[in-house]
Amino acid sequence: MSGPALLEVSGLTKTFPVKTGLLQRAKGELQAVTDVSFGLDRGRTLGVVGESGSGKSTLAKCIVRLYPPTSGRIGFRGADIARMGEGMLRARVREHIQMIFQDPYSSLNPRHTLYSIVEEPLRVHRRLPAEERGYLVDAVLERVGLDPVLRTRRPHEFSGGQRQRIAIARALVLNPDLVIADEPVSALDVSIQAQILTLMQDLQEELGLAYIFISHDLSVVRAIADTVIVLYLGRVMEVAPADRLFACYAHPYTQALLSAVPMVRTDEEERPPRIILAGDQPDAANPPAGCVFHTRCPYARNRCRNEVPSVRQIADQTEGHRIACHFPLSG
Amino acid sequence: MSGTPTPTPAPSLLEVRELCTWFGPDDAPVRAVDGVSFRLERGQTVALVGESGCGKSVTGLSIMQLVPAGGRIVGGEVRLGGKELIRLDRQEMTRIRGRRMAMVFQEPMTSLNPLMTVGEQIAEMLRRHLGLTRGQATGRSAELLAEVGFPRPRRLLGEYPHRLSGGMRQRVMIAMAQSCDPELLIADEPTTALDVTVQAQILELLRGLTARADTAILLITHDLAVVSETADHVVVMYAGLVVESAPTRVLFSRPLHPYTQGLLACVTSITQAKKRLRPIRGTVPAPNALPTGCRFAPRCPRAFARCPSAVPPLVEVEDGHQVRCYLHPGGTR
Repeated sequence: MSGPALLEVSGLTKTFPVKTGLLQRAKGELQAVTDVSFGLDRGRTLGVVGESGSGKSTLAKCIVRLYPPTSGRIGFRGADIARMGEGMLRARVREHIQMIFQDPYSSLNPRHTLYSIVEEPLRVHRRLPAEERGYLVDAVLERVGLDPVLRTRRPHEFSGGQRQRIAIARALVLNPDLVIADEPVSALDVSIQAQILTLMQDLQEELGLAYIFISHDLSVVRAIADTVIVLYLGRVMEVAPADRLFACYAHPYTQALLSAVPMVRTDEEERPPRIILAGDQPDAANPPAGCVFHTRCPYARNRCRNEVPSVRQIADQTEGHRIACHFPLSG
Repeated sequence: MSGTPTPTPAPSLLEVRELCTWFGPDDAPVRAVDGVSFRLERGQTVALVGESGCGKSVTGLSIMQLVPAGGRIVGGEVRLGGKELIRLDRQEMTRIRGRRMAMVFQEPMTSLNPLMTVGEQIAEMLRRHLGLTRGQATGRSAELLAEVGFPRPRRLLGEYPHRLSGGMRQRVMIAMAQSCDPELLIADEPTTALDVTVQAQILELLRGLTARADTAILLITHDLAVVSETADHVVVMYAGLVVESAPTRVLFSRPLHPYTQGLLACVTSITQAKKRLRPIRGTVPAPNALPTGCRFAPRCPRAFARCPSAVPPLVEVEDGHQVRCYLHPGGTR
């Protein structure tokens, strides 16, 4: 694809003050996201993986501008929205970036009906006659597989899978360019999870949507993402096209993550050896010096303890395969 | 059964026969568990799998005689080492629970007492069930925490549960469940809320228990990949019934029930490139509105005229492999 990408994030950093005691005095700061860069084209899916505390959700909230980033650039449709004021965001950005959360029950207003939940974004962002709004709502409900007859029902009357369909309908009613989905299928049963993933794939194909798909479940990301970014303690460890990342990962953390993923095996298949990481994740407010992963890395050497590895392109390798490691794995 | 008389084998560690646990009023009961049978031997891991509402958790709670309010066991047998548990009095059951069988849950925070330190909670179990002194209990608590992988267990004894991460809490729960060296551990979604690396640690721990201590584990989960890596035998449940039961490798290589096949087609894998999944259509029936006949028939791609007639029987099609489906009517028994 030529021309600028739909989304171009560079050097994104988000810092929170760490407050303590009764008076909530700032005692330090926590870098939840540090120097994250990536691009995303229309119609493509970026998978973001990492464990809890890796900064996945903070990254998402910065991009939808629920949080103001501390530094860095968020190029969206050609404009930098990182420091854009609320008025401009409302007028030019908000309707084009939508978000879906893990638990649709807590993100849908329990007192509103299906109809008013899905119609609300139209009331806020579009000046349209009620009749036309109704037409758009019905169309999107049908598209996500919800019967418009149910329009007067409230969220508690729907199953988990149906509630996720409601959240998707609400996200799509404004016809956005980018949908950020934060663990959208993690709370669902396997069969329902497959229904929602398939729906998201169909909608992407039809509408040319770009997705940022955040999940701790690497196998789900494998099923939907074109590119994958691996985060650890808020830093990018590795970024690569999905096929390449899952087959030719070069970062020891990616290797450990993948080796931990349980797999369904039949008679013929053997699982790769599992690498169990020692210890627990370090405190994000007090990250290790050097490479943040060195305290748990089975291959760490002296240089890793002292020098922060920069994110760099792997020489002579597939385009778009970048890694932050002094001693990448080979083969 | 075959015609030749065989000597009575030693009883299985756990034998569940035609277990029925119903909820709600007698005239319109919700049949959460509707005739579930399986057995579990020492040192073995059996997985109960299925989606929300299939009755797997209620089966686990029924075995522990901890059926939630509103529910009751209306039929069947639960035998631990040959001893029938269902009609035991409360005192006797309390002795067995914790001492001979223990349970860990998905969210350890709800089962740990937030007002007691980790050390106090483990020591309480040890003193109550094993009669250890305070000093002995403290020493043993530290040992148990070391066994579940805490590098400095003494320091952990004084911590409160909220100060621990999810994975640490789950390890504490397993240490508590292990405190009296039970013969049976029931683990209900023990790794569902955890990160993959932590999940791998916990699964390794559970595997160690069966190998080292000969503990039998009943693993209740919806995660087929976890089952594949942990269980010796799998029991698949749907709408309160066992629909298929087989040794793990057999089940994943040659699933026979269309529901099991459908579940496997929905499983995502890190070795499978970006792809379109094949979801099972529709949703699980409400427990108070079960279809007549085969309960999976309304969603089944291979349903035929006979399916809605009556619930198909569970038949054995090969050694240890049972299925409840009219596509496989010719069982060996």
